Amino acid sequence: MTEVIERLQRKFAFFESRWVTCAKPVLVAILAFGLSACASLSRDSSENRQQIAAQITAGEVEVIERERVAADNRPSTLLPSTLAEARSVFMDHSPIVQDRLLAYDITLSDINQSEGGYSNPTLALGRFTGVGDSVKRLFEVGFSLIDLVSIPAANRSLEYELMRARAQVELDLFEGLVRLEKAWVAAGVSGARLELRQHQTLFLGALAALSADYLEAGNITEVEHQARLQAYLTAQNELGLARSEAHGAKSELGQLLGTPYAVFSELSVPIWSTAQHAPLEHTAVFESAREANKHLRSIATQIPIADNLRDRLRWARWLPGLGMTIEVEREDGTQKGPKIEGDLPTFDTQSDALVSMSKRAQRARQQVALLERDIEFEIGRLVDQLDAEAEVLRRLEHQILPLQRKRLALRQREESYMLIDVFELAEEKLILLEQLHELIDATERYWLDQASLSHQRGSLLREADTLVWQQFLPGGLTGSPAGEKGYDDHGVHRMDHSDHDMSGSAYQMEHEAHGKDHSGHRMTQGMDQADRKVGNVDAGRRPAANGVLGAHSSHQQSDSHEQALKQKPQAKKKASTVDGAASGH
Amino acid sequence: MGGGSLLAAYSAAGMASNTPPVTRDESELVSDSAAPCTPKVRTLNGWTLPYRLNGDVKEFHLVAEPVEHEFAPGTRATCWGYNGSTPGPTIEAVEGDRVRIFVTNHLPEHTTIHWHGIILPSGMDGVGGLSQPHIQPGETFVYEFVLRQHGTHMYHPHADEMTQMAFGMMGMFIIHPKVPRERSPDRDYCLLAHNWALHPGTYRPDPSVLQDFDLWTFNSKVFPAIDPVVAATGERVRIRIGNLSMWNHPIHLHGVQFQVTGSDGGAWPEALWRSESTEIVGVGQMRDIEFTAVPGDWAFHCHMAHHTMNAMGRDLANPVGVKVSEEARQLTKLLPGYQPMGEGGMAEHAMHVAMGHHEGPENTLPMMVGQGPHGPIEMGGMLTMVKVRDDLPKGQFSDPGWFKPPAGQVARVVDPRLAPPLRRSE
Repeated sequence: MTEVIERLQRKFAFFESRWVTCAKPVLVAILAFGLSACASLSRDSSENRQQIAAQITAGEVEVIERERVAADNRPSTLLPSTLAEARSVFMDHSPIVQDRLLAYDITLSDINQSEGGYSNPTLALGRFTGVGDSVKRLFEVGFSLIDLVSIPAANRSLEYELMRARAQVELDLFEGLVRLEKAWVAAGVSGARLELRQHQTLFLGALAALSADYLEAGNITEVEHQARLQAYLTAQNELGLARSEAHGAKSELGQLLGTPYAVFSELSVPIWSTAQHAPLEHTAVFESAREANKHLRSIATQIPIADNLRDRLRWARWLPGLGMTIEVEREDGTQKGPKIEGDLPTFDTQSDALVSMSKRAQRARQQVALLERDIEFEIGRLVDQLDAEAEVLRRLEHQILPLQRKRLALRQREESYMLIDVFELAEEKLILLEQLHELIDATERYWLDQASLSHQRGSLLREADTLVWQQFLPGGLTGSPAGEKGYDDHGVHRMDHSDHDMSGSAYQMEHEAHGKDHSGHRMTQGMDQADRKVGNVDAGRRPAANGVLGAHSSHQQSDSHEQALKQKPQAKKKASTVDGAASGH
Repeated sequence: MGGGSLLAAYSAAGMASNTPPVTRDESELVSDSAAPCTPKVRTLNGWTLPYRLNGDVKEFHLVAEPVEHEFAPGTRATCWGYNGSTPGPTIEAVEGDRVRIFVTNHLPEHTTIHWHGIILPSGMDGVGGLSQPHIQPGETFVYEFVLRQHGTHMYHPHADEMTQMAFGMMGMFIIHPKVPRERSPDRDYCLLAHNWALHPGTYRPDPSVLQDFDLWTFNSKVFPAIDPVVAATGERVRIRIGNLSMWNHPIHLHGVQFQVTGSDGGAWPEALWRSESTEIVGVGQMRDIEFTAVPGDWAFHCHMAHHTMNAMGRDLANPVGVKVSEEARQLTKLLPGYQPMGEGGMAEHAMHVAMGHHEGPENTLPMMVGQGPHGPIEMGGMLTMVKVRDDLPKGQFSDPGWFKPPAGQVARVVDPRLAPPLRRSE
């Protein structure tokens, strides 16, 4: 195009040096305006009709042109419950997707704009007065013959550019989907982690409360109690972090989905099981990745572009700039005849450019080879890692956790026979909880790696069944003793026991009174020591309650527990009043 | 024939086959060459080893071997013993007897037998490596000596003693006086005190435990599986007690003052008898106690409180006096199966167990067990009863059931206002 313009300029310069022209510019302008107006009208109408959109077809991201839908581009209020739904929301409503599509649309328009266009033919009319009354009239029509060759070649280049732009936008969208998948996994995992932390905090809180009861009875030392209190406070810290992590994970997911801020926290994402894992064969995975890896595909589009540019330059540099003119000149008689003019390609002025193009083509191939090698190694790493993680999870799910659960049940039997105490029993449950954390962490690693592998394979993550990690907790998350000998049973047993003649007997009451006396006396000393150490009366006496109330934020899951702990000091105050009365001999 | 040459002579397998060992199968107690077996001493839960007369020599045959033993219904273990039992059968002989005791080793390791408290030649003393070579697995050795004393004695291995005794290898060796005392007891019982580290949930004793044992036994049984000492009112009863455990045991008998009539040194002259209600039987010691039976059911036990318990925990957080708060009760939801108990004392635990509310580890007895006529007895380990009845036929040793006291002779609940308590005041 530039070449044509330059040639025209040279042609006009030639005319101006010889004759004065007046009509030609006017005609050219009118002609150009008319054609341009037609093209613009055509473009406006297509803009209103078509829209660039993206869709997922057979696991592939595809950019399409479709009818404009009035409802598009509005923020989505959908809260997807499956990854498939999330993908759909992402493709239709994500601001990120919209932005990429728009960018592609712009590129597309630019390419369309550049596509084209043979140079307009030149038309020249002229009348010149010479010496005396001689008059010279000129009619000239010109057309650049080189355009017949160069324009189709340039258009082919633009097709490649379009292909590259399309591959790039599909890569961008695919990577967006991978990001969505990872955000989906992270949201599910962090939700499970939060739930587990809540359970753990509740458990350690109850244990610290029991420890406070033992301390108050004078049966354990402050040092023993403080260790349990510290465990509870640490659990609260971890709960806070888990809550923040879950919030952050949902926030990122909501951001990707274009969910309004007001509702993103309502997103509920499951954590997936890895039970369906099948060992992967590296070579097969790599072969499929070579075919479908989006990054590879995008990079590979540079090869034909570079080849095309090089080839074009290779033969075009020797082409003379040819122009054909039909000239009619009448002065005394009529003279007419065609004129062909052009450059003489004597010197190879594009030799370095050709070298550069060749290197570019070579580099494009090397980049593809390099990327293929990287992909092969990355797939190897991921396949090994996935198999290892699947094995870790299989052992955790089917061996370690059931064993620990059984161990906890057996330790419970020991506690029932007073072979261990409840605090030792609690250690077993804490081990179980830590193993559940391991399960959740390993599940997260597994699915993030699966997402990375899918990314390499150019495919989308396959959805899996929900992992019911709570199944490994005795009685489930809520501690419901269904199917196990549990609390409710014991409630009944306590009632049975109350019917026995020991309860309410004068003997027992007498001993209880003695016990209170003893406990009250001891604990007063304990309080004094605690006061000296901490400078706070409650610090030693009711550390669980004090620590909890001081450190806890208003989180729903712990509220009931906190309420209970808040009431505890009152109950204890009452108890100590009774004790005090009893101790006054 | 000297001891050394006897050992050499009888260690041949052919000799052992001429004297097949007696097992606990009652049908084998009397063989064609055996003398009638008329034990004078009743071994609680145990038995007496028959002998054969070979000329004027009493021949016994002990087989050291693994045995499956039940301490009480619900707890069993693979132990080691003699002739199918732990303790091994009681050997009874008479002062002046020449005894020849074959010992076959069916254990997986070598062994010996030491005749605890018996005066004998050094080469017969049974200390492996010191007084004799070890009896290797599969070998039969013979011990032969003349009994030059009388009294209550014991036998046990003196090879890898810690393991073999921890596994239950022990027995009583009772030598009756050649000239019986003027008034012999009407009933003569014997028992061996022992301790076992049979950890809850396991099936083999742990020999590496030094003091924290799980089971405390009389004749390798725990209450309520220990046979009662049964007697008729007015009968003279002797109980011979040996202690091969790792603790001393203050043995206490309710209802009577007994006389200590013998010890490691044999039966004491009557002038040395002393009246007691508790007698400490030290580690490795023997004591004979005698009393005249008075009607009733009387507890007979070691007075170390934890020796009358079954397996129990150590270093537990003491639950007595702990008022479990509501927030702590959340644990019962988070630890299904856990139930706070013990605020008023540990009897609550026994009660729950008795009512079947708690399931313990397998092969483990609850800490406190036993149901009496008036409620839970809440004991275990070294406890049995002396059951004396007016109308008990002579020769009956079986459990006569619970004593039915005469009317008005059982403690009962009354209105406390009948007797306001006095308390110490300033």
